[in-house]
Amino acid sequence: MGIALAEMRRRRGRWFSIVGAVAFIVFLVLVLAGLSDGLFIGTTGALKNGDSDALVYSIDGRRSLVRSALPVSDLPEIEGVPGVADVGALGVLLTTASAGAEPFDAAVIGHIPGHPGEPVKLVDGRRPEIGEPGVVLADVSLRAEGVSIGDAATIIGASQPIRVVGFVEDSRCLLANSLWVPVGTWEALRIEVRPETARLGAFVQAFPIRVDDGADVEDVAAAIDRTLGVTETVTTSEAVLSLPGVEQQESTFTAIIAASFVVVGLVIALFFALVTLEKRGQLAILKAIGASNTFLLQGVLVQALIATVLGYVVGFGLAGLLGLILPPTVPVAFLPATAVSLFLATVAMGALGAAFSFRRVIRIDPASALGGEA
Amino acid sequence: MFVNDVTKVYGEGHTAVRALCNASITLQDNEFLALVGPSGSGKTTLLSVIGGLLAPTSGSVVIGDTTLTELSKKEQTRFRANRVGFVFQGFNLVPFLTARENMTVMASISDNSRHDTEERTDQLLEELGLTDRSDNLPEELSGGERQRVAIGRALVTDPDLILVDEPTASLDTELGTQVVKLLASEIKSRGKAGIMVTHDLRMVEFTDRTLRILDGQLLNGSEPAAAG
Repeated sequence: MGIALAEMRRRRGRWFSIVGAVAFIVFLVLVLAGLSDGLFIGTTGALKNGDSDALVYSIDGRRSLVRSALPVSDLPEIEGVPGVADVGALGVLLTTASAGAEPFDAAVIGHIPGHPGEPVKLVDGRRPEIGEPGVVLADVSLRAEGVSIGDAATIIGASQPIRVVGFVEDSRCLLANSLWVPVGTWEALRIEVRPETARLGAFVQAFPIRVDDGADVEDVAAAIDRTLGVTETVTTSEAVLSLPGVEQQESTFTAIIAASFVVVGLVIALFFALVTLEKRGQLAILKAIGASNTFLLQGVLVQALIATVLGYVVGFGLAGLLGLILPPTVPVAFLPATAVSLFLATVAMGALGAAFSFRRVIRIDPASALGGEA
Repeated sequence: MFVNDVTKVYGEGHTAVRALCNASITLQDNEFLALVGPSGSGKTTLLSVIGGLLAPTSGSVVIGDTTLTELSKKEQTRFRANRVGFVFQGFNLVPFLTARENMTVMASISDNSRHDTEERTDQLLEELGLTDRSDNLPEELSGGERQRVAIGRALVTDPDLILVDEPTASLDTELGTQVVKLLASEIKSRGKAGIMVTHDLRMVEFTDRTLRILDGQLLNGSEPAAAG
């Protein structure tokens, strides 16, 4: 290992180039992953962070938060299904709102405070009480629109403004800023903004549920659908992936990121192939004087790991800097879990790339050190 | 050291080339042998077989109490690390290690402890007149200094046998003579056995004995040379 470290220390120029190449790809991957996570959170936050195990949709709504509609009167029946611990409600109204400055796209979401579906990450202020009129919990992204606690937000088409009493995190819905109001307020806003829906009576798009401890979510979901006959109940993770474009968006980003990792592996493999070729003579001498293949391969592996770790650190730093200067309208999110998994993937690809030169190292004949061939 | 009836054939059938033919050598401790012959005569092949770098087609090599040719490749590698010292043609030092590190690297390769290796390295650097140059990289050393580092590396594990391949190939006559004299003196002062392959007949006077090789066959009539 001492030789491998000395080589990196005293042949810095060569190693800067490989660290730079890895850093560039890591930067690219982290930015892509940040955008992917940002888009995912922006699209799915309202469902994902609602502390529910499953969502009950109307069967003809085909798992869509826009198409589905269920009468509020179904709630007690769902509550009575064995295995159901708690039921909430989600009503979604995609519209435009303003809070003084420019109007913005808003998802006004009706919910039952303290029940499933309510956004869990309160970062400032307080939550509305059940049935409390004229108050709203806003997604923290609205701070970038200049919204503060105590401000009045106006839903375009509604007669009364609503007052912001708290901020929640990761609660956006279909990339729109979310405004969470008690379901009674939502019902009134919906009828004002979409008067044509008044004749449909009191309805919501879905009922988020939590199941009893130890109960099987799939079994409870099937029981709800059997009892009501007009519902399709799916787990929350299935519901998230059923949101329009989410699965396609995830698979597209995953494919790009995977391809970038293949490039990391290829870059490392090519680099070590060239270095091994260049060092053939030197490796033959070391083998002749008694260096084992294990000793030499450990050196290659250590160098690959150091190069990839340094490359990752530099790439991470660059991505972090970019994150600081990106405008808030770009949906980017650098998540620790993603950073850790990408770090492990980078190191694994570095090791795999280095392993491609193992055979070359093993095949070097120590006898070539004699006779001036080395 | 005994080389018993060693033959090395490359290839098979009508394309077979006999690089060594029934070569036998007996070498005592404290004996420095020169192996001379023209290019392609088989001297490097013989050195490779003696050093455990090349398996003979038939015959055996015994160094001390070990029959080298019966060991596995892995065991031969370990044997070379601990019991054979090599000085190669050219300088062949690791270019990014200092003079001292080129010698202490043997602590990582052989079974010798780091402490013992470092102690022997410092002794050798002093004996070889390299103490002041110990922290220099090979590119900062003269040709003679590099070859002295290579000699130090060959001796640092206190091996039984030193194998030297054309040590003067990259040096002028004066420097070449100095290096071979130094090599002979280091080998003899430690009571080691040494074999030097050379095509430079002026160097054989510093060895105890000269063997000539031609077309893979050791020639009769090689006489002990005057010790240098």
